[in-house]
Amino acid sequence: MIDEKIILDDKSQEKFIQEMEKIKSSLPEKIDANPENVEKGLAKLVLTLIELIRRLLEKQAIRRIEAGSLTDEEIEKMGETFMKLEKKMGELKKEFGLKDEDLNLNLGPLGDLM
Amino acid sequence: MSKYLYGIINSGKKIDISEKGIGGESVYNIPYQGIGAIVSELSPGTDLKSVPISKENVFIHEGVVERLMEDFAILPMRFGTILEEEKQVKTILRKYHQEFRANLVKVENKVELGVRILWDSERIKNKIIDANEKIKSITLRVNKKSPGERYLLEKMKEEVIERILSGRADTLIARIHKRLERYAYDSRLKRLATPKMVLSASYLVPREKIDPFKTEFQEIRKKYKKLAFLYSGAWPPYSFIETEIRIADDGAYPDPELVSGEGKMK
Repeated sequence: MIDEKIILDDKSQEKFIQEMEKIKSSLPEKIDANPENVEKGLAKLVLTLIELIRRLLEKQAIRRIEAGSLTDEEIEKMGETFMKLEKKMGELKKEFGLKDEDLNLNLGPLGDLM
Repeated sequence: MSKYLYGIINSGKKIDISEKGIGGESVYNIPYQGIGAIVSELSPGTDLKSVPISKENVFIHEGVVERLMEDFAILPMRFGTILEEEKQVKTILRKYHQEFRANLVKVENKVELGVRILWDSERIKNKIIDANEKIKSITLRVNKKSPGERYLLEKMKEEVIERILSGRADTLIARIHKRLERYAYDSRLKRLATPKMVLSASYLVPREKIDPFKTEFQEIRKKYKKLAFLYSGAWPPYSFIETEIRIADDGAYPDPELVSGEGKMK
């Protein structure tokens, strides 16, 4: 039933399977709340929001560098702050057993948050 | 008795198909004013957990929908749509009658065809890095700076690359989509679902246009030798139905306050 519905090069087959697996793993899961995982669930939500804000600020800093409105000293100061923030986020993610791709929200028709 | 719901068809007549449903049960039509709900029986108290998403069950669901597609327009339900009793099925048919009718008209004599395209994003990225002057100048700046500046400049470089890549994706998608949409009644495009999957598209194509669409696809595939293409179909029009049905607690007149379950057709 399936084979006759597909047109695909043999050599591309493996590549498509890999990409489809990635998409599958990023699909929203049902929220399965129970006493054991409630802490992780909350951490996930909070860290997602922090990550969103961090990225927005970082993007804004990049825009300002591109526009040439920052001195080297200002860039250095900001860069160091962002660097530390990213490191700290990495530690927190590890602490709660979260991966980068976990820190995302599916906003339905609006797509993904990040 | 719980009902497993496969889809809504544009006929209120009795149907007679040999295809067996989930659990080997017979498949039949619950009619209501010119439309009908295609269901099979489930033992009492069956919830989604007792109809596991196994390859076998998914194939049964798909098989029933595709068999019906041969004779009717059908709005396929998402796998695992279960209603508690016949009364609920009728409530849904009554409540969403107009929306079902409108959607059935839209998909009548049409099928869904899928097109997915991969590009070698890493190779393209490297080419951009080698050729783009702006990126070259950022790279030069990065090498001379202190850690904080270097961090932000690296991020800036990534962003500039992403922007160029994204522009290229748009151009490529526009070129290919322009050629395919001529044969389609409607389409849903998803760009860069993953960095490699530059396009993931569904086209709603009238039956008589399937062959020309396929020929066009083959032409495009021949032209873009560096891309990998996947064509699939014909499928039931899963991507083109946007009615969300809500199932009320008492199976009578659904009230948002009473909502206990939710079935979304996808």
